[in-house]
Amino acid sequence: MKKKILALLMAACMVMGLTGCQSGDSGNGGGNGASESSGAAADAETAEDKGSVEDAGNNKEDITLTLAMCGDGTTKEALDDLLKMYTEKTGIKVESIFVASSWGEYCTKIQTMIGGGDELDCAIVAIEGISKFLDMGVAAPIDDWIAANQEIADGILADTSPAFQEIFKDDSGNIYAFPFSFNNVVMHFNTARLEEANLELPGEAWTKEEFLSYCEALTTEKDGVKQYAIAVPYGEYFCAEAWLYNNGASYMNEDFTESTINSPESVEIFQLWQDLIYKYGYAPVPEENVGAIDQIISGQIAMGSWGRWPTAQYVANDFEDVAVQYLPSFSQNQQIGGVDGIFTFNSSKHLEEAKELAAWMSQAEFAGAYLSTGNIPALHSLAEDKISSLGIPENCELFYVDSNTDIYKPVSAPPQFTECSNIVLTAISEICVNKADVQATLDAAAEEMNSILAENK
Amino acid sequence: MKEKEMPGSRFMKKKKMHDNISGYLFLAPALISFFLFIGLPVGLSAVLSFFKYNLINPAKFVGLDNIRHMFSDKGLLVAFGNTFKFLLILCPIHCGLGLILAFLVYKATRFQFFFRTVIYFPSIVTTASVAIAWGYIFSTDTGVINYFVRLFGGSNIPWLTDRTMVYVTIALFSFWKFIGTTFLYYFIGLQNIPDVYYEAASIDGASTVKTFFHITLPLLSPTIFFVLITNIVSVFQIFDEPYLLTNGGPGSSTKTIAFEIYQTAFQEMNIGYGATISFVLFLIILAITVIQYIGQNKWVVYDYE
Amino acid sequence: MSKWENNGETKSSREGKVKIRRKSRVKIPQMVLMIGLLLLCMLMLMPFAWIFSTSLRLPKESFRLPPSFFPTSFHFENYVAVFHAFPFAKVIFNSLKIAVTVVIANLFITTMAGYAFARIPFKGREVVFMIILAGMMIPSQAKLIPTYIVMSKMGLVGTHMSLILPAIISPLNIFFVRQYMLTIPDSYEEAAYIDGAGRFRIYLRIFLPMSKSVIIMTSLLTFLASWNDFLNPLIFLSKYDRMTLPLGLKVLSGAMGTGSVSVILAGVMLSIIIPTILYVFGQKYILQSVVMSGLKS
Repeated sequence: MKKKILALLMAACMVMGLTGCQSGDSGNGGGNGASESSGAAADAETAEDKGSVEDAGNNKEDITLTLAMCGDGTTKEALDDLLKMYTEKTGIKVESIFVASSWGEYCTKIQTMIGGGDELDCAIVAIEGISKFLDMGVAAPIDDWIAANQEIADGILADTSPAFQEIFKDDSGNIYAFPFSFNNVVMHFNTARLEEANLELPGEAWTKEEFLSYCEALTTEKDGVKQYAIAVPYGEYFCAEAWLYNNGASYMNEDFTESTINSPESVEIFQLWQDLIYKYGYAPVPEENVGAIDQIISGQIAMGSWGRWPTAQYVANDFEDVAVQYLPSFSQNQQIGGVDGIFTFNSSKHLEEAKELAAWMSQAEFAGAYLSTGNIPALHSLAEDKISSLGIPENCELFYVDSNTDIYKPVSAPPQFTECSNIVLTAISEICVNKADVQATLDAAAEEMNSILAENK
Repeated sequence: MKEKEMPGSRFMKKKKMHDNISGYLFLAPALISFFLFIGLPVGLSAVLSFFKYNLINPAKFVGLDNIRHMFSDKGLLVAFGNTFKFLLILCPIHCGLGLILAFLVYKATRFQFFFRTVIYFPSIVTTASVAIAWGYIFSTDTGVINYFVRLFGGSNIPWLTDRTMVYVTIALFSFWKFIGTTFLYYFIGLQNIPDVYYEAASIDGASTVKTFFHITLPLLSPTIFFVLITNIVSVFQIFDEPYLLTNGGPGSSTKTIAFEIYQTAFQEMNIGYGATISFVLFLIILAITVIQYIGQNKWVVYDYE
Repeated sequence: MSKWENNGETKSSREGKVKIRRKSRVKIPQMVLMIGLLLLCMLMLMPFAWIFSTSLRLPKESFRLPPSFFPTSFHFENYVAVFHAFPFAKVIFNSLKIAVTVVIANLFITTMAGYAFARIPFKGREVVFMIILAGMMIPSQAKLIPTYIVMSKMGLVGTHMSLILPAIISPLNIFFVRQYMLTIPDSYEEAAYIDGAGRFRIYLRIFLPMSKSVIIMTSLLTFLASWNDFLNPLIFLSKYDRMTLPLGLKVLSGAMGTGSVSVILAGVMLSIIIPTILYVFGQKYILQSVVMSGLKS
């Protein structure tokens, strides 16, 4: 009897062990590119587009590239349709990994995939992650592709901002990707609120004084509920630095070795945010989980500083009473820019094909069909076409009018982006919510940032 | 430490030799999975705490640098402080209020099923999704609650936008979202108190309050001890509330140790340093648990069984 | 009330000596108690009322003040939108598949271990038990990346297995089951021994069925943990159609927080249906489940 039980238990353990080994084997099989097809077969349940290109003979058919994209779920379908088109054209299958999460979590995801030996050939990487990925040496330069396809490359480079192209180069001048899409930061206005206050859209070079008078006029009350003029850029590293740029300040110097967040110009802007909330009462106390974009749509705030991404929400909500203008020129009008591009990774087993895919995605055919309302195509001609045809917000040419010039100053994005962004956002929160002393808070933030940036020297 | 033994010593001897084998055979699946999915990761992170590692570039041995860094890390100090604040606030809420609530519901003669279901209900919902709703309901300027506060002539309460008030809000949230679990443990504990004790008390004419303190509490002490320990362990690891409700803010008022670990090991991919912090946290929790375990003899009553 | 009486009966038939005799107890003023508890329950349901009524509003009106806790408009479009935003049915299936597998595997591992700890006096039992309990004290955020490394060495990253395997071991569940099995009277086991049954048969035939209630409770807790897990799927899963529910809800809220709150809340409402059903049906058993005899052994 006891023997029988022992045998049973042993069997159970062995079964467990076996299943463990089996799954391990199949996983490893998928890992060493030789048995690519077996890996693909194991994934049959997921491969919807299986059999779309079945004519034998072409060995490219065996290649499946993996591409990671970050975005909201609504673009997933468009992406897959376009990738299917690519498969029909080239015979190369592309599996997309779609991460609908914040950039930070997306970057972590990419990093774990590469570090864990997962297959990843291409991924969209935004400026927040670019220097980090270059620093880690995981991205593959595309100079050889450019040399081989000079004409196409020149076409792309002539139509995009040189300021953005710079971001995709390392210290020795190798190019890693083409600009794909970008965002600047402008002031969005709820025009219905402007009308109620008898205000016109301000001029391009509006000043701090004009800005404050707008705020005064736009702070009203409706049905016993206070209507605010503006939302401060809370939790928005990128948008907040846009304000600093217009006052000649920034979070750090251009070679990312020292923090300048406590400079007098920077302090002035942080002080302004604090005053907008507590001194003047023009802005609501900012909070996590409360989306300012929802508030501008509902009219609870009249102004907010963002890139083009709220447009997606405007369209979804049939919200058309919206206009944009440059941020107020506190001392200058220096547009900020944040750009992304499709990178290829050294770990790819099909590097040539991956570069081909990345380059294809950077051209008008893909970008034009994929990029919808959330961002600005980096190709100037494409942006002009797409944005002006959408028509909202009013004055929307601000999004693209300069996009083949180098007037943009990229957002500060050192390899230690996550750390720095946490420091900046905590400081904004301390100042705007906890009413902390501005100078002291920024001094502490600068000190903390300096200790992190020290390794860039 | 008397072990449960089978009576009959002849029988005992016969199977004694098999006990060790069968014990470990029964444990084998648990031990294997424990080793693979708890032991191995923990061991790995113990090793990694001596390295600088970002998952991509080769790990670099840095000796005690990570530990040294801990002592100069101001942010971590704040996180430790905040975690202790949460401990002081949330443990009494869950251990104390949970018990009172369970006792009251236990005493209710009607709608008991309804009460039990409602009180546990928030526990079954994804924290992330209800936190979104809480953010809107408790918003200072545009929130639902403050709307009513203003309606009755009050001024806005900075629920999530004040470094002190935010603890109140998190405590409320924590009560609402997680009280169900401790409530459930206590309720089960109350049900397991044999009725003879109450009968004796009612013959003696003891009041409800007196019964509660002289019979319920002592007889429930094992449950209380259990709830206390699991609560301390989970509050030390408190992550969901600050992460979802406040993102550690305002400023760094609600950053906790687990939140720091998440930022360091996960967002910043400084895996070595993250591992160092989690090890220190583990040691603290272990120490406190051991102290409580030793101290339990003073107040936990097991004899009634 | 009838449910309650049932509970009492099953329990007393198990324990023999325990009887529910609430009428004989000293009463606290029931009216006050009722009103107080009803009020508390109302307050606790309030956020759900708000979630539900907002999920039925046009996205444009999500934050309209004055607020209402009862649906004033009925725009079921938001619910339709959830199904359009991502393959909702597939995602529910994935979550269900993972959670159910975890629950079943966890059940066997947990009860076998619990039985060993409660009933087999093997050498080193105390030490092993303590080590397993110490497993509770490691924050999950700390385990995430090392577990990822282990999983990628096993070649499981990206599969549902990578979510299932780490969840099959639960120290807390083992503790619960052990506590429960300690209370099962020795007489059952003795009788089986005399009949010549072995350990495994006793476990399978006597202890497993008798531990029904604690198994249901630990299973529910395990199910909920798996169903609601967000960080693990985010890191371990890559392919879109292997996505689980919390990841799906994240899709609804959009990458830059650009999703509409009404639609997100519609997704939230849909996501709580299955756990609610399980809880309501499992509750009867759960309440009989654990005897917390503390950490004494």
